[in-house]
Amino acid sequence: MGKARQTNPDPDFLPGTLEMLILKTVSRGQNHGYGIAQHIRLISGDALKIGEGSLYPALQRLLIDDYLEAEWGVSENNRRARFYRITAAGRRKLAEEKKSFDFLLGAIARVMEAP
Amino acid sequence: MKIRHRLRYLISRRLDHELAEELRIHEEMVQEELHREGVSGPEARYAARRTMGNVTLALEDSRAQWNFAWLESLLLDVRFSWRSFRRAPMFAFSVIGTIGLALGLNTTLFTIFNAYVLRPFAVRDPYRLYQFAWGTKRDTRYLFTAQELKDLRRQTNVFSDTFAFENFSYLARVEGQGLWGEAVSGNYFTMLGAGSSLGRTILPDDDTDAATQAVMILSYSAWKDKFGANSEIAGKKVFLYGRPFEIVGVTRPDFGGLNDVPTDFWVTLSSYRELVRAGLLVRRTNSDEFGLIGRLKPGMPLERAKAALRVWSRQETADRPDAEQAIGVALWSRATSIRFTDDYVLRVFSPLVVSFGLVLLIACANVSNMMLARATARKREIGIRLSLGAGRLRLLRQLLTESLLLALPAAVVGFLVAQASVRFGLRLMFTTVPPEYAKVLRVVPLEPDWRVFAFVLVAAGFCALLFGFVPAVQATRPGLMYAMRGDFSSDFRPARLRNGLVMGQVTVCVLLLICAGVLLRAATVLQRRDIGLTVANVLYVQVKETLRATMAERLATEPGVETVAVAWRAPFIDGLSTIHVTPTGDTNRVRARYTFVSPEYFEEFRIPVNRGRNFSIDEADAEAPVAIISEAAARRFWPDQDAIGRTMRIEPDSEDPRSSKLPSYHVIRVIGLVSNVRSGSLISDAPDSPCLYFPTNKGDASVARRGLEVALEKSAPGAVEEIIPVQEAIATFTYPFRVAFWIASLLGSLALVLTVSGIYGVMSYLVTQRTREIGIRMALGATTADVTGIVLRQSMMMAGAGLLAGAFLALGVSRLLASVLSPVIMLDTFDRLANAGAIGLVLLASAAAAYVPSRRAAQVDPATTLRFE
Repeated sequence: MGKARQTNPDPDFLPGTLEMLILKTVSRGQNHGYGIAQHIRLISGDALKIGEGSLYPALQRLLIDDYLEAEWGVSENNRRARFYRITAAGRRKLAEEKKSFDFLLGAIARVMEAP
Repeated sequence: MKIRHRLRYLISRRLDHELAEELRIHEEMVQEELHREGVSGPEARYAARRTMGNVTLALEDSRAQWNFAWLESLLLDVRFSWRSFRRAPMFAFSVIGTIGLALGLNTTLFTIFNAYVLRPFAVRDPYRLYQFAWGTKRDTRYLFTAQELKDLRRQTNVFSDTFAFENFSYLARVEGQGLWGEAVSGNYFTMLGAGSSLGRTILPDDDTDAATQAVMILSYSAWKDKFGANSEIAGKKVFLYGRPFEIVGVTRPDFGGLNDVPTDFWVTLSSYRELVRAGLLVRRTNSDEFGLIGRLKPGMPLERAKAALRVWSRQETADRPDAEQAIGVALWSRATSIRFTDDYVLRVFSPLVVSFGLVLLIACANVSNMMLARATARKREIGIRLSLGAGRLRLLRQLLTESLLLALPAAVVGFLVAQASVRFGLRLMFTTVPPEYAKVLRVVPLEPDWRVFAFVLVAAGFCALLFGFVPAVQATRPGLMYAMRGDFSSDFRPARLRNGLVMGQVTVCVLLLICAGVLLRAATVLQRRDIGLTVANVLYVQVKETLRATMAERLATEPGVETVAVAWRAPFIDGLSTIHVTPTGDTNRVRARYTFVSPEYFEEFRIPVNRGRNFSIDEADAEAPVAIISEAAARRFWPDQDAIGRTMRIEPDSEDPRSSKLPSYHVIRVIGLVSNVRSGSLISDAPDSPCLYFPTNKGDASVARRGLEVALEKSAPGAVEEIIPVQEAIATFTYPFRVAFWIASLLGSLALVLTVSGIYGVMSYLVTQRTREIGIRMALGATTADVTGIVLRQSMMMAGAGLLAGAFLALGVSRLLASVLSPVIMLDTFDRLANAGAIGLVLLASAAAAYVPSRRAAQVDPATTLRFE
């Protein structure tokens, strides 16, 4: 039996959130896998630690869907690395995701803050 | 997009390495980071490993994103099925053979359907070609005068281009060969974009009154078959209706005109008009009118074109008499030989589709049966897999994959069978059709194209579902209880299903055989029909009216010619016209058939003059107002009285469109009585309908062949239009029934073979399954006859149920056929011999099929069976 495609890599995340975070990170400029994980960890104040087990499958999905492009290059430390760059479709997707995420957050906040 | 990415992944495994590399780099980066934080070399490496977690799993998961999960499992299924076929090759071969044969027959039918109905002509943009007609209160007008055609071109902007044409409604003789000709306007070839493979096509300049030389272009197949592919044919002079024409070229191989009968040659409209004007060619329609086909302008919707033409045709006919004013228009596609929406398609193809489809169904039922038997044998395997937790859906998919894998080679076999049978069928047709008609028979090219490929693949897939689905569902029915007990044989439900399938097979088989029988009977009845005249050794020669007298004289002197008679309508070739007759002293008008004949006619066809006398030479020459009438006419007009010497009044029958030649007198005297004959059509003519013969002088003739043809061609080139042995004309009436019979019996016998093997299979299986029971019965004293009886009885019950259903269906089907074919019908659907014959045959075959298994049952040794228990 084949493995079904995984869409929810981390139970702590809402479905699709990881992809959104990656897109957001890469939208500021191209980055390699390690850089993406580091960035998310630093910005979230160590709250979001992305394991390789979720990061790389998620990157593959984004590649398949044409939201990202990958290219081998040289890192700041003169190290060979695979850099990911956001595509036009990726930007559209990010905007979309952000909108529905804001909507969801707003909804949750309204429920939580109701007297 | 996604699929592209994934395919690339499947093809190149480069990505695998890249992923591994990427993860390795990631790990190094983590390590470096730790290093910076002050962790020493080897420590950092272990720590990095720890933080990374399961790298292999991460790699696996990343890789899995790229795979088609289903593709992998499909490959597994294919491999598994392949192994199971290797274990049972006979099973695989018999399935492929059975389905392949039935598919092949259906593909043959589709090839023909495709060639006539689906495949567009090899011209530029065929789907924009439309023929135009307008309807008046009286009739539909397909033909237009030159003025109307010019007006249409000038005053409407519906068509980007149009051409005018006229199909020669009969065969023209060129160089002693009967060819199908078409007259077309000069722009025909340029507008259709149909080029030449030799010489040139007809050009607009050829079609002017100023053109000095009449030109002709041959079709590629006529050039090849009738002119020996002579590469120097361009420039050759040939005679058409006695006028010289120059052959200017040969069309491309794929172009044969826009008709359902491929055209052999084309001439220009202007030279055609010239032939008509010179009286060399008689047109059925008198005036100078031609059909019109146009190419719709790009972007012009059909509805708007119709609306524009409707307005135009009203305008054009506004100042004409009421009955001639256009009230509606018709535009129909000329992209294919036969329009899909044509009535003809329904009439010809629907009975064929049903009967061919039924054979395919029977074949599927047979295979289904085999698969059910096999599934029962595999019950243990499937039971174990089910109990080990295999998903039912997954098993179903695997079994269906097996069916599909069997259907694919069957499609290949079917395609090959179809190719062979098309070729064989064509050859058979050309050798069995009456020889005179074989010469003029034309069939559109039946080469397979992508539509045929697609059909055979889709049909094979459909078959796979049909024969694979039920057995697959049946086999995977969760019977965990039985499986746990290790009992894999006590489920009887498949047997019920299999019995049902066999009953269905018997039904269809009987149905097809009864139809075959009815058709055969119809053909033999037709052939044995007493026509009342002798046609052996009578040749029909159609010559120009102006040359008739000379011809007849010339023929009479030819050695080997016994008599030369003249008839206005030749028996069985032309069909007779009708006229209204009022016997003197009576007020009732009676419709009767009539023809004009010379005195030799009655001798020629050995029609005895029973009373009175034959026409005298003088009466014939003067076309005197006398008549010889058939016995039936005499009985009808003057019952119980002597008809000789009586007179009657004749009036034209306005409802008969063919009554172009009428006697110039109104009152005629009866001078003789002849026996009743059929002479119009073998099918619809009643022998006892009244028939009148009026005298006429020399004209048509009859004769011994070859020398004659040469002699005729010498004395007046192009004068002879047709020579047909009358016997062959009669044979053409029975031919369609014969063909239908052959097709039906082919299908019927194939169905019978499949049914017999189906019954055999089910009964053998049953015997194997009941061995224990039979052994006990025999131990308790049952005789061999008892045991044989059990098996035979069961098979006869199945056959009986099928027979009953089949016979009832046959009644319904032949009723339906009769209503579809109503104008020519003479099928006796209740034909006792046909019905009884078919039922008897199937009954006998079923008994024979059950006999072998029943013998096997009788040989069961009770001691051996009981020892097993």
